[in-house]
Amino acid sequence: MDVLFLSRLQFAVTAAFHFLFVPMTLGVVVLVAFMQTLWYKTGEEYWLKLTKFFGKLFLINFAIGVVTGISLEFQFGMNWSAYSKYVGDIFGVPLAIEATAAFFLESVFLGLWIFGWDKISKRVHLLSIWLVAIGSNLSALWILFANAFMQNPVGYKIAEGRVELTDFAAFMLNPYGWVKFFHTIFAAYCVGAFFVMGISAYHILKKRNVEAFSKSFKLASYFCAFSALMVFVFGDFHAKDISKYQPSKFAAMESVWETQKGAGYPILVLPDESGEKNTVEALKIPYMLSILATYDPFGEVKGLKEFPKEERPPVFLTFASFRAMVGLGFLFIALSLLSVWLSWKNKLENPVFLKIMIFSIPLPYLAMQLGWIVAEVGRQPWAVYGLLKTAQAVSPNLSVSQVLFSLAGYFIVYSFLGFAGFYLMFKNAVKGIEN
Amino acid sequence: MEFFQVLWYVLWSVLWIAYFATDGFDLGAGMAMNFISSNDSQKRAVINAVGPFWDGNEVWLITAGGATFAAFPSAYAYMFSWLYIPLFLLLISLIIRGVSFELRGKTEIKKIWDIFIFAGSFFASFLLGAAFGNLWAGIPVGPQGYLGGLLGLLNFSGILTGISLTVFFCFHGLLWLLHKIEGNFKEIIYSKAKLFWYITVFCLALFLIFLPLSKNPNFQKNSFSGWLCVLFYALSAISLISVKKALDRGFVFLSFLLSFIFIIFWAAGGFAGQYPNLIPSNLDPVFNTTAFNSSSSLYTLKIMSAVALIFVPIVIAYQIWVYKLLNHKINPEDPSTLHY
Repeated sequence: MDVLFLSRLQFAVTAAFHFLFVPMTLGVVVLVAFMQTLWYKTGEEYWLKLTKFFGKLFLINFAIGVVTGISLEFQFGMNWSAYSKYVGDIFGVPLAIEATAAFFLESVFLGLWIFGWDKISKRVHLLSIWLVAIGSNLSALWILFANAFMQNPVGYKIAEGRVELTDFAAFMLNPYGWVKFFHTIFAAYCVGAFFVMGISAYHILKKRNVEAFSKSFKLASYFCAFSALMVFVFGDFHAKDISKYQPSKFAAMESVWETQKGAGYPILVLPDESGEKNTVEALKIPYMLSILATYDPFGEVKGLKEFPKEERPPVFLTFASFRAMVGLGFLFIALSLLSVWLSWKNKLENPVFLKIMIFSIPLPYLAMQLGWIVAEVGRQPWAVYGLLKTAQAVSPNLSVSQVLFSLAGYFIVYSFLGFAGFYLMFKNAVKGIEN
Repeated sequence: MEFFQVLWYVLWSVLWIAYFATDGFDLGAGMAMNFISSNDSQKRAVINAVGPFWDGNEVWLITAGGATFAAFPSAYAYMFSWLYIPLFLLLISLIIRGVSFELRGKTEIKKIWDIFIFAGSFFASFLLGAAFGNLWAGIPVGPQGYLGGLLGLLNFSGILTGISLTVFFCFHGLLWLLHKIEGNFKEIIYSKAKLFWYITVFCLALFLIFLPLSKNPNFQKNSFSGWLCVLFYALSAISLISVKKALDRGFVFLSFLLSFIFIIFWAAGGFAGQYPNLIPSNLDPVFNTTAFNSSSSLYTLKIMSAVALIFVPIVIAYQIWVYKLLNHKINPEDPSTLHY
């Protein structure tokens, strides 16, 4: 165990934990804002109750999401000081803007929303939840552009032994950033929508407040169907960007070893990393892989052998995570379309369907985590693709005992937070709307 | 180039000062909560008094961190990796405190959250004070980096500043609670605040007598920034004395504002005194990390200046607006004023 390994483990654990709460925040806040808007427009009592009910679950989730975010910003300096020194001229910019232009909006107006019931006008109160939604979505934009720079660096020059920003417009127009933003944000909407649908399904199944929960189910199902389709569309764009800008990641995602043109897409694949081949490759759809990578059936797909061994990401983990994520993505489209159809036909009372929806709540969370494994493990061995390796990014002055201490501390505190947070969400979700 | 480096030294200081002056009162209220309350509704009153604001206040810390990263990347890299353990403990303190404010009201067991609120607020305040006390006094930075070791911050200047900031925040928090809370509980807070004023004055006096900056070999007494430093410390002392006058006459909100100004000037004194060093070395000035040798490129500083000049005023404006909108009083005996 060295400082590099422990720092990577710590960042992975703390980022993954933080990202259990972030997508739910991004998705549910928009749905709660819609519910409150519907109450504002229609005056129907059930929209108010739903706003408060899902609002409470959102706040429990938000509390843990917000406090676990700071440790990620600080870790760049604490554990990755060589990285921070090398790319801070660029990478610090979106982080600073995120805090100034997004976090304040989110945090200040969330305080107003929580404590403003009956104290401020309904209009300003409604405005406050929308500002929270805008703030949290904007924060996602900035942090994903920071990440996009690590994946596809643009708008920079190398001077004085570091990376310097030369073109802020180019940084903001990074195609990788926009596609990544929309892919991630719509995926987060699916997390929020499945959460609302699953909990609504539970109460419909228990025949409690069926009228209200049918409404929230319907709202979330439309939101989810649109979002799930958008995740697919932007996922496809994303794959093309990856094959263009990060060919080694693309090759690992699809476990392609040899560079080929007019490549087919094998449905069954089992990679053999040490043998540099696939043990199983079956049910090939002709030309499909080339189309996925380039739009062109005869387009070239680079294979892993194109890259020296020390510049390839871990193949199996990247490949398996990608396949599982894509499979889940298709499942979400199917389930959300089915949900739309059933709630449109007012046929939600099917217990099997409702149970499926309840047990589907964790699946979009899982898909999100898998997506980040593809993004971050697939970028290895690079911290900034093509510019700086992860091994060069770590703080030179840390000792193993320091990082072990913090890792153990995070483990203890986050276990407690995770337990407390999910327990309270579960308890309040099951309790339902109080009359 | 130099203009923007100086500007960012100033902005960097302003962001830290804004953090101290705003989050200071909710950290202080968090520390005071268990000691001034005799029942659960009084504790709830304290939490409701800071509940809407603590998170927005804490964003000043994230912004200060982000601004250090963007404007002075190598200072960010050194400061955060050299002070690894103290920063980790600061993060854990802030995590357990924030989550306790939010979750305490949603659970049956209150004890553990009460301990977290105190411990998180106390350690966060003390560690911030200890860290800046060390920066003001200068830290042992040699050719191989920081030589202070694991407990390097716990020297005289660090402990003095840590305790001082903890006391200042407690006082600041009591004044905020005095402004927000009414009923019998207000009388209790009022008497504690009056008492705490003496402790605060005592700490400020100790701090100024054993001034950490006086140990800093880089402190330039006869320079513009040196004179500013003296001026700021003088103004902070005057502000603290005026708090007492306002408090005695019952101008509660004014006394809070004066304490706000007191903390601003106190912190500003330190930042003026350490200028232009972000991380002063007390071994040899060659190893100082300054605004001039650690800054980002001119282009990045310009972009960041535009961002700061547009957004910081907007943020301050809506933060004040929200404070005004939530200007209602809280009474522990009136459950309708207790939300959490």
